[in-house]
Amino acid sequence: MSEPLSGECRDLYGLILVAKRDQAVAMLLEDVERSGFTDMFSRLLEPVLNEIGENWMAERISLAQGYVAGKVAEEVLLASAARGEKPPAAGKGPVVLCCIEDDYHALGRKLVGIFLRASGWDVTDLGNDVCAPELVDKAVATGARIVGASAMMLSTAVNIHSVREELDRRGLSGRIQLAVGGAVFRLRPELVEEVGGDGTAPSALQAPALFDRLLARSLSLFPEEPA
Amino acid sequence: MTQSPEATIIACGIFRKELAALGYSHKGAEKLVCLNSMLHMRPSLLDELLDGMLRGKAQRHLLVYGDCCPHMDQFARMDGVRRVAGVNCCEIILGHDRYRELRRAGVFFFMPEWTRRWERVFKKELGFTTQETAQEFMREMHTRLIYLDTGVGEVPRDTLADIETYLGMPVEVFPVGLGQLEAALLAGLQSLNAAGDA
Repeated sequence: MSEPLSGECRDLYGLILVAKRDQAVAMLLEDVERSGFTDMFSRLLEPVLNEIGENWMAERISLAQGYVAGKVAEEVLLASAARGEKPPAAGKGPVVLCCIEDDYHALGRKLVGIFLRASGWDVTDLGNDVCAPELVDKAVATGARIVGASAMMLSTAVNIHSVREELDRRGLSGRIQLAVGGAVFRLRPELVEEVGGDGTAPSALQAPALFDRLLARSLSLFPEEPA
Repeated sequence: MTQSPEATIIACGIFRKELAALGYSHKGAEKLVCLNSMLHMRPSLLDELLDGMLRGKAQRHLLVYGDCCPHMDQFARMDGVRRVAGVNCCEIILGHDRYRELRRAGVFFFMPEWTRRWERVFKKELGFTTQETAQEFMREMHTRLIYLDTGVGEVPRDTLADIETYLGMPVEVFPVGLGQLEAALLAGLQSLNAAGDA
């Protein structure tokens, strides 16, 4: 359970819930002007996103409110980048995301991408209906230590197992960690292991913490070679 | 030889009128039970309901559902239970190939029953209470909107016009008929009967 929100966080949270997106973005960018992106992120945006994540998991906020939260974070990130501001811990490294073969539920994947970028990851998003070889090829090409595969339903979640098989076949398991996500994993957590996932997060907002853990695991198994 | 008990069809209410048009009813040879289609928005509750209806029952059941709740696969593997083919209601009504082709093209589908309840779905269930957010979301996620005209009842032109206005995209009317649904039901019942004979 997160700490109670400060007054200004409650204001921002309220703006997001009623879809006053322009006002929410303006409030955050004014704060960036005053104190910089890193301070704004840790003091305002991050706690509000955490609150939204908790309420999303508890089904107390709607799909539309989650979508607005993602768009607010995305707009602030882009506007801040245009001003030369970098997210905290920028340069965490490349990751590759997709909805797995036959899955077309893009929202969760897009939100994960937004929140990972806000946390300093260099995200390549391959989109919907991506097969395992394409995902692993892109991870190898970009040097990603983590790939994320999303599926909404059981019938498509099982397709993620082909990513594990592809990683095994190329001897990349461990080095490249497999993050899995989507509604069905929250409702049937045992599926994470069944499809060969290395980990999952209960919501898009918790994805950055998961990716931090998976990177640490990858580096512990296969340390970076000195340049 | 013991006679197999009559089958019960448990269907999503989204198919209620289409199933009636095909001759399935609660008084028919296969008893029909339709559940509220809004359970699609509450998959855990649908799980609980189906579990209660299926577990430990001697009766045979055909599920006219897609992959709509987290344990649907386990229900469909129970003794005396089968499910029609298709990941969701749109694939059941369109058939596998056409569904995949349109879904890959970024289509969002309106089934007739949910079209009548579109305001509840979009505004209350999904929370798109502002037109601006709804329009941006649909433009970002989908390329086309298609109404699947099963031929049961009139195409609700006025409602589709309201949807077009709210979502800011045209709604195409796509005649699909009942052939794929009928074929899925027959295949499901055959599979159920074959399992009963085994």
